[in-house]
Amino acid sequence: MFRSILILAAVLFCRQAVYSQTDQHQHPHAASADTFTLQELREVVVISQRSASDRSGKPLASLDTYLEKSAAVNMIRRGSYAWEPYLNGMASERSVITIDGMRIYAACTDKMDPVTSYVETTNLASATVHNGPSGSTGGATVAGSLDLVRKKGSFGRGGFNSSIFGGFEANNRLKTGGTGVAYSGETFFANADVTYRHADNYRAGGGTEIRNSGFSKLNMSAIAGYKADEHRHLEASLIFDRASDVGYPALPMDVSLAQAYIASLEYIQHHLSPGVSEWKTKLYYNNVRHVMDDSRRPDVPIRMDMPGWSRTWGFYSQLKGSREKHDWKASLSGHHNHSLAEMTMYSDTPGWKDMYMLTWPGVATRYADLYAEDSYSFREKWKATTTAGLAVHNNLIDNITGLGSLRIFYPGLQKNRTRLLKRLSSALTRETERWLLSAAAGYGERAPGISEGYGYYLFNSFDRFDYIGNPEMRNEKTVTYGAVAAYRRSRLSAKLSGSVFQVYDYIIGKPDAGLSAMTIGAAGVKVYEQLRHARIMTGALEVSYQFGKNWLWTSKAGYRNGKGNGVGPLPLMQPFSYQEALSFTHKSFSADASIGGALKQTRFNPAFGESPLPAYAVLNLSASQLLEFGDRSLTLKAGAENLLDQNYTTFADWNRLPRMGRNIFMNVIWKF
Amino acid sequence: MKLFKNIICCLPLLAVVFLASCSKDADPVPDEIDGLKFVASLKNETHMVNLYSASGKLTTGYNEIFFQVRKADSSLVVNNISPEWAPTMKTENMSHSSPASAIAPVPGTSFLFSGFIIFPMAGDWELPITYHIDGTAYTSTGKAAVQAAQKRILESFEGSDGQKYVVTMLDPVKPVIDRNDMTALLYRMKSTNDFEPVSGYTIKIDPRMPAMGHDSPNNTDLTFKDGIYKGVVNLTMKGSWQINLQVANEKGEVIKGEPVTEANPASSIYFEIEL
Repeated sequence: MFRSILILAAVLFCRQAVYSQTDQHQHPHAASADTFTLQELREVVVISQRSASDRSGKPLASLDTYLEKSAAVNMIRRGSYAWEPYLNGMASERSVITIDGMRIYAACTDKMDPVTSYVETTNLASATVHNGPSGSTGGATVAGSLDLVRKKGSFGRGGFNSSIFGGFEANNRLKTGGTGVAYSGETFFANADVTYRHADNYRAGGGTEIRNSGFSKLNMSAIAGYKADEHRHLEASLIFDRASDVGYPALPMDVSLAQAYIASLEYIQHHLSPGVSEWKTKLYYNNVRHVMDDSRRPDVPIRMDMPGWSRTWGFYSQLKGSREKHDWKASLSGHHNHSLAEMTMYSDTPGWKDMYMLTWPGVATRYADLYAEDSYSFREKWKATTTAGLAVHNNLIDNITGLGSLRIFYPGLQKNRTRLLKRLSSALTRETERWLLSAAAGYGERAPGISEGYGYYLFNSFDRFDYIGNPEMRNEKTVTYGAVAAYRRSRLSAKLSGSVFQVYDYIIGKPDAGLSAMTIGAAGVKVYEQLRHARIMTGALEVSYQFGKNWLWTSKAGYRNGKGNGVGPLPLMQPFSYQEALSFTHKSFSADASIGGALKQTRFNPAFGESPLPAYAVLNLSASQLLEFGDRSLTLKAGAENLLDQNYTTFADWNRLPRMGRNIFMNVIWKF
Repeated sequence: MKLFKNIICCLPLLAVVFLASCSKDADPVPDEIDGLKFVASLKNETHMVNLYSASGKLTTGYNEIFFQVRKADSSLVVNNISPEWAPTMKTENMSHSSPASAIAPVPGTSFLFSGFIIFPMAGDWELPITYHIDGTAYTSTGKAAVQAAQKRILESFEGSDGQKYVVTMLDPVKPVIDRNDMTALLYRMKSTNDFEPVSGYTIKIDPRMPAMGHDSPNNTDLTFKDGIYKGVVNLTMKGSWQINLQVANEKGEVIKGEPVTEANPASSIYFEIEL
């Protein structure tokens, strides 16, 4: 393994030309306000809330709602809580989601705990999206990468800053409350925060109560930095997140506990030499425990418990620098994860034993990655960016029962499998005062995820099939093309972006008529297989126009389309959707009205449980006021979502679960 | 059991006390039955036959049985006496027999025999064993209690060919979530007292978990090889399994058992496995 890394290192350093793909710049606010910078091509969702200038949505909204604003992200919704981020129309296995560069593996076999569910908006400053294999220091990916950037203080003379916040939402009686304290000193800073949320069942449009849709979540986090000298400092961070009694109305089971500890220690050094501006090295550990149960469901064919565990430790060491017209970055990272999940079904027939199996057969993932990127500026307006990465990926089934289970399906199965995962991308950008034009291409590979490779009778309640993993699959590969054209002129800004993902050996479940379903009521068994080819296209348009001093109109539209050889349309693809918003701002008061909707969904795939969807449009209104008292401030925001109480469901709603009906909300943030 | 061990231990001592002249013959040979547990004793006027098995019990289905023949002076008889057995069980108006193997000396031992008996039902079985010492035939007899196996591992049935059969499962003894080697023996009743092993048939298996209604994939039906039916049963999870059976003759005609369908949740013959 190390030999391969050394060889790669040699290859990379000989090339000396490593770029980072620049891609769609789609931050909705950036596009609409004066903060628009054409330099910034990555897609960044600003999360650090508590800001009155946040024109859309609620400052105390969940992270899921924030992420949904990104044109590259769809959030697949199985209930009120823990939505699954789909990057560029692709499931979470196809992307790398990191928290400050840390890899975390979810512990739920049914995707009820994506990595994003273990943090709070209070922990985070922003989320950075890279499309396709470009720019992913986090690791090998097909769809792209999403890095949640931790919010932290800085060294200085800020002293103490505190905030208390609270929110209430009428529809599901969601109560949000919390507090944060930050201290900033010359050689020491620390932030700590606590957030608690509790929601009851919500009501869909028309007043229908959606049972099993409440949840509770407690999140605590702390981060501290110590400055050893002018150029060196140390940071320690801890996040504890605990969700309990989480209902998943679109699924047959709920979650009694989803708990994570996420800890890290980082060493950062600046200005190592004239050519090297930053070196940071982080060690991290996280531990996730997830307990699915059905004790709140009155009618189940059989009672079951499905706990899962995931532990990861890892590190990365990253160098940044510049030389003449090159900006470069190099990163070495590695992690070790162990994931295990089991299922116990309680027999209600005397004489028949309780049933038990491993749904994730004890899988260790060992991963080492070397990544480099270079950005070369030439002829004033041009920039060429190249990125390259090589990873060694190893899976080991270390549980004998787990290995035995899979050997029933794959008699010759070896418990060890090592893969090499390569990625490469390049982009060319031309930037003038008014225009930004960028074209990018990339190649990426990924290993099958744990469920895809090793899952054992995992029930998918959308297509109603049990899924069996396939450990003998090849790497999934993608060739990605993307282009962005952005225009800006005093009051008008517009951006058109598009990308195409040509995916080879696309991993997807296909029915195996010879197998019988384990889950009572399931339609059959699907085994993960690979399509020779699948294609996903995405497109987005954003326009904003400033009327006079106070009015701003923004318009966003997006569309995705996926097709797989032999399976037709790929599931969970966004039909043509739009958002029109008009905001009024005067001093520290702002108000806005928006209409969000989608056209009729005519491309769908019944083999994955999908049905056609009618068009919908939802009206939202909100107003906010910032009151300042010296260096203290009070932010008030109130509004109504889905004002007309539409009953609707979208492509992203698992099992066509209806969305929330009319919801009146109030957020209050007191900073002192 | 402890009591029996004590008796065994005391036997040489008793021999020394009462039969001093023979003390040299009373070799300490219980080594040959190390790891085996006493099951029952059979007797006649001159000999005692002690039966052993791995568990110390006899159950319905397949039982591997060991024995030694002891003279009145408690010395062991060398295992060259060509024994035969004829297990029978008498009920009020019938006499049953059971499939049994020939008896053979256990290789590497001087006094120990082994063979197997497939008890089709629980109860007290007569186990007469006949052997020949110096040209004289002796029969030791006695009763041994056969308990019902905890799980269904034996089926007696009449085939569509009009013949009576007994089929029993040997392996898996310790089933695991995995591919499990499965072995079975099939006997045909020639007459009330005579069973013969059947070769060349196929025992088709369809494992089902009755609590859930699902099967398991990639099983291998049992075919006859080296004196036994061998196949593979896949157990995908812990719990109670039914291994539905269909017995097919050399021509592939099913003589007993039915396929499992929605209307027919189980075959009329099946084994049970629990793990």
